[in-house]
Amino acid sequence: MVEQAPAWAAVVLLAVLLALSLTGAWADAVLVSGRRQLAAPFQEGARLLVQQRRATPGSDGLLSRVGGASLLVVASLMVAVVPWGGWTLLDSGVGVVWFNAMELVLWGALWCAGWGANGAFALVAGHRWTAQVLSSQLPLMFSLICPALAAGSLRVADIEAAQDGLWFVAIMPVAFATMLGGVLAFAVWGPFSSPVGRDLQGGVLSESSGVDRLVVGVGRYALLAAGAAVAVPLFLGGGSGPVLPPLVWSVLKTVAVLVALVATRRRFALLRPERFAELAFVVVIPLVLLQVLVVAVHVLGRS
Amino acid sequence: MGVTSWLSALAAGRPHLLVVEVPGQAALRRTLERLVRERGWVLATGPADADVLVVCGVPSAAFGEAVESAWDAMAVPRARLELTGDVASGPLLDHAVQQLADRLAQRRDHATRDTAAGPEQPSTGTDQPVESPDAGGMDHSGMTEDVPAMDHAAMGHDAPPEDEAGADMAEMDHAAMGHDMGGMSMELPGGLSMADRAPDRDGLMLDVLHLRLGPLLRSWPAGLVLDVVLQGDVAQAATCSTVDAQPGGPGQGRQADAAVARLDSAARLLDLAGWEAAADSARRLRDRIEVDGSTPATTTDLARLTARVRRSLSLRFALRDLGVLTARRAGELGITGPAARADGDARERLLQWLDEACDARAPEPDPARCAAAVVAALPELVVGLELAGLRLVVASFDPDVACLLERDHVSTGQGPSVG
Repeated sequence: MVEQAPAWAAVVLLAVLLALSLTGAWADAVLVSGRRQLAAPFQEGARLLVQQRRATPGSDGLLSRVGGASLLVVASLMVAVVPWGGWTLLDSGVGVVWFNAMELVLWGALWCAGWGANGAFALVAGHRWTAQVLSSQLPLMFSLICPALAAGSLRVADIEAAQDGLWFVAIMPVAFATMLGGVLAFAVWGPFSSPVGRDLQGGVLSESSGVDRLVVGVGRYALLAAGAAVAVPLFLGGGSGPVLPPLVWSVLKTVAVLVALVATRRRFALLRPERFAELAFVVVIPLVLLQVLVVAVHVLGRS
Repeated sequence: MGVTSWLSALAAGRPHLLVVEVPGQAALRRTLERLVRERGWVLATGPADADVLVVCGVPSAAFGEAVESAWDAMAVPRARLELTGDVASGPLLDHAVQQLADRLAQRRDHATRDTAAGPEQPSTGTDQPVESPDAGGMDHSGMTEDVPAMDHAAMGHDAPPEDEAGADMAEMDHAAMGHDMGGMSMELPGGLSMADRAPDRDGLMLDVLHLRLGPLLRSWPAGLVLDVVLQGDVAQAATCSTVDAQPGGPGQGRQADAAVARLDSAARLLDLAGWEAAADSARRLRDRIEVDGSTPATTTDLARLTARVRRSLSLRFALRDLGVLTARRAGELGITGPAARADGDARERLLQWLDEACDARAPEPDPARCAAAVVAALPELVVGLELAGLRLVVASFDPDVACLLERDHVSTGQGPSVG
């Protein structure tokens, strides 16, 4: 029921991802200071485009730039497995694992960005990131198991189809919340933004300017958008909905989740990685494991 | 050039400003922050993020070095504004920002920087301003010295030039952390040398990094310098010192009333903790009280803000058990004021500031002595903390260094030094 899209659709998909990223940036600007800031994403983009790039002595420019650019690449690869109104770019039988694998690339990417910059703050921030990601991505992995378990498939389109009538968010709210938390964490957003925190002059970004910083900034919005786009078929019924065609529903739901994710910025104090580790391992992982158990019992009861 | 000019003009609509507060110029800094917020502009996180450097007051030679380092670390296009008087006006700020879109001046800035960038050309620079400084005490061209665009000092671990021993230690390179190449004096690219190693608190041999925090950090007490010895991101030792305003420069800014000062401190701690919405509310409230004085409306808003901060779970989670100082220990150290009355961790001190901003109290008996006690006790309070915790603890005390320096000027007639 889901068809493989032709190869040229990759260009369309990239455009969609960038449009979603821009939507996220708009949402952020408007949520912060109202409508008069609608131009803010463009002003910020222009500022970084005309700004000189800088580097520190002894820095590994290639490493840090590859690290920074990986964010956008990873986000593009994540949305490849998302079904959009009956079409998907990569109809993989292991789509959920693919999403998870892409997210693992980020572990190295931001650390490289911090290490390559050759600055004390960037280096500390790079290690902060690896510490944080360990605590945030284990719960994310367990939360991804839940919809796959309920649908009996790792194919994203099958999971979407299995939610006929009842969205998975209704039977696995904890997994849904954990996944959104994981998305915030891999996009280094909101309470999880301490690796780019202002206490370290911008953390992994503390030595980068110009287009290098722009690429990371766009990459973070793209990751939020990609996370939202994947959460929709996994938990929110994908394209299902009344009246409107499935494609429109998919996009609408994605934008709604994206705006909700973006809105977490500024509203919470930063979760400091060393304290978050305790919370993640003592509270979140047991909770999400319990969620897996509930889903498993639900599946057994159904069969 | 059409597209670039258009982009430059668009970019100048939302510049990022790095605001440097010289001790005694807190009022000026607050005014600037208000102007920046009213224009929808952004306060920069550090030199790499900044387009405009705004110096409030006239720094001393040592402080000036740090300011120059930050300026050198800023990417072109850049502009500079030095507020030497006691006034910060919107037009001055707007004029500085307009320089960002001046393609010609910025291109010249870029070109000069490229020729001066080689290591074989040490900071001889080009002592040639692009444009003559304006009458308003403003030096937006400010290209007095262009040393490498890739600046190291900006990363905060440069030693003061007058301190040779410190310079040697600071040479040790952080890039080497984790690599054990056996030698200490091995040259790395950029003329840096390898990190030293020392046993850590568990007796393991680990790399040691000497890092200078301040005086140009966001939400950092003006004039405070903390030299820390880091292993990983944990402070193993720390020494505290201060940098001052230029002697004989413009006088201290007007003293703020207690409510404004406390809201200011609270806003800075909230900013550092990452809760920007609350930090913004605190700043807005601070500015309203500073401009219009305390009114019933501000009292209500302050109570609301205090309740919100008290309720926040995420803030509690971030600050609890951080930098605990009991009232008894505070007494032994000679610390008085809100920090002593709070009798607890960083969160308690934050709530104490907000509570005391609500009710009018008698002024503190001896603020300079309290500031001196805090500065003396800081090394002890921050050792063993990692960098984020350390920054939060320093912000949760927010010692009034200006007050301390002023006392030292009066008593000795010369520059102060704090152990």
